[in-house]
Amino acid sequence: MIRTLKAESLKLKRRYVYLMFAVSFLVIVLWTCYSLKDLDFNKLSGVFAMTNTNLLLINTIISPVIIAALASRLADIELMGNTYKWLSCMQNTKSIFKGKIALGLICLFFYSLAQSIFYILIGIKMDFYSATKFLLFFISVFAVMTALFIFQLNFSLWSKNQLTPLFISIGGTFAGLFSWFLPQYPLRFIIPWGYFCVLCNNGINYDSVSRYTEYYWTNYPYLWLIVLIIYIVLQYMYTCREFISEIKEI
Amino acid sequence: MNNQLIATEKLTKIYHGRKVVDNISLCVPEGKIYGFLGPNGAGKSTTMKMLLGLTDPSGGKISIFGKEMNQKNRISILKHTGSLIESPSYYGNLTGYENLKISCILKKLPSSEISRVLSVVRMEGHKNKKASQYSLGMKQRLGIANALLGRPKLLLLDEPTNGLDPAGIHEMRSLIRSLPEEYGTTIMISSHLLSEMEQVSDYIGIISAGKIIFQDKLSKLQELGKENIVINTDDNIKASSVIKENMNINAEITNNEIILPFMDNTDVSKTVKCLVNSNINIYRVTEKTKNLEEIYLSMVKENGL
Repeated sequence: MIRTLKAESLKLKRRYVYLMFAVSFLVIVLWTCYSLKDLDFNKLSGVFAMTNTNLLLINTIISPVIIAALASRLADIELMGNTYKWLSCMQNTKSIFKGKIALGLICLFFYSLAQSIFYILIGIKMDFYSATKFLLFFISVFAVMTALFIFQLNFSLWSKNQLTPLFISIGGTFAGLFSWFLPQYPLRFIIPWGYFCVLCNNGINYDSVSRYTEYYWTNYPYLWLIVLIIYIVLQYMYTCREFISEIKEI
Repeated sequence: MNNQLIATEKLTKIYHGRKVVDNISLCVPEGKIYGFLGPNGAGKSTTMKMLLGLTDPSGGKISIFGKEMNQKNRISILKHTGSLIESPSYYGNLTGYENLKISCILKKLPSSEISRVLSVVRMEGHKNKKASQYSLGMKQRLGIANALLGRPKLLLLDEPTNGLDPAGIHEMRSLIRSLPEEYGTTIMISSHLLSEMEQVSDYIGIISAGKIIFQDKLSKLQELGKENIVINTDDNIKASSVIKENMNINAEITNNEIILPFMDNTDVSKTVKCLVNSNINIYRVTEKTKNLEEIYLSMVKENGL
């Protein structure tokens, strides 16, 4: 597996994937810092909860496209260079697929971890520390990104034109974003882009008179996390099976 | 044939109900160059893909290096095999060197192999150029270099001269010819060009409409071309009757020539003696042969393609 990962990583050279994640992380950091800029942490009680919501909301907007680009980069190098038959003479078809999944997940792991560390740093600044909340934030972000990545990879592996999966991700991003503001509709539960919202364990009280929004913590939706994990497993199995059968007929 | 490196038994591939490869039994001898010849769409690439396990056969068996190939041992068998199937594969964003590095990583080969194969295909000067900037000929050479990594015992090359200019074709031909001598490599090379196969192959297999219609040494194929003995005399009519009387052979007279069926040297000598003894002046005795292209075309035509 190490060799497969090494080869997969070399294939991405000059494709600016890591730069793309770095820039995206920087945007998240700047956006979050800007939203916290004028707040007085000593007077406001729900800032940390607000930051949790904000980070998940920003992820809803930015991450799907970044993830689609990652899946597309991993897939189009093979399609453009007609390399599957070459690779299939050196490694099992399943290990080609696993290599792509593994490298993608490593990128997403560090992307989620960087965000979680940033979240921890904000917590320290606010004199707030909860290991459980940090961990749940990491799990939420990483799980949703994993689901989106496998979903996107399924499209990208066979799309001659990589704009199609990219457009799907843009459409998904809008649907995911709307799902934050349409709580009465079950949209957020049936699309993977909606799960940044589903796994957000914060509530909001808005007072229209004082125009003050209060953020508070709710119970973590473990049930929906389990649903998402089941979806990830099923999507992985389906994509892997399709990949193996399709590659046989190249 | 001597030791067979590749042997197939009733190998069949059916696509959408149509037999693309039909019960073929290939025998590729060790240390030789086996030319796999056939018109476009005859089933050459499909056969080679099956040999590499890139597509599953619908029936039959494949043995490589004496081992029956299956999905479990496929990769270990292919470790000693190099291949170039159809168009060359490459990563355009990587340099030639980095492309070969991918194979070295996956095949657990030392990086020193890269310099060796690059020098074999004469591409040392282009190793740091991105593969997307290569010409088709250079991509093809990169594909060959890739196939040569790790000094494989067996090379499967599907139309390796596609897209090469005449100089490139010549270079490729010399390279292919040198491999069995230098490294003992067995090569199976496919093409639809007979002239190309004629210049590199020791053995020839001809496939047409998915069936093997000829498989033997190149010299045997050439023998099939010997058709007639042609004699020119000063009196062809008299000569014809003399031959009939003495040799009991029916001669055909066309264009001031006597055409006889193919015969061995002894019979030719006897025929000439008869004519000389009958006071007939012989101007010329020639052997009329079909060229390989004519043999190939007639074989393919007989088989319905």
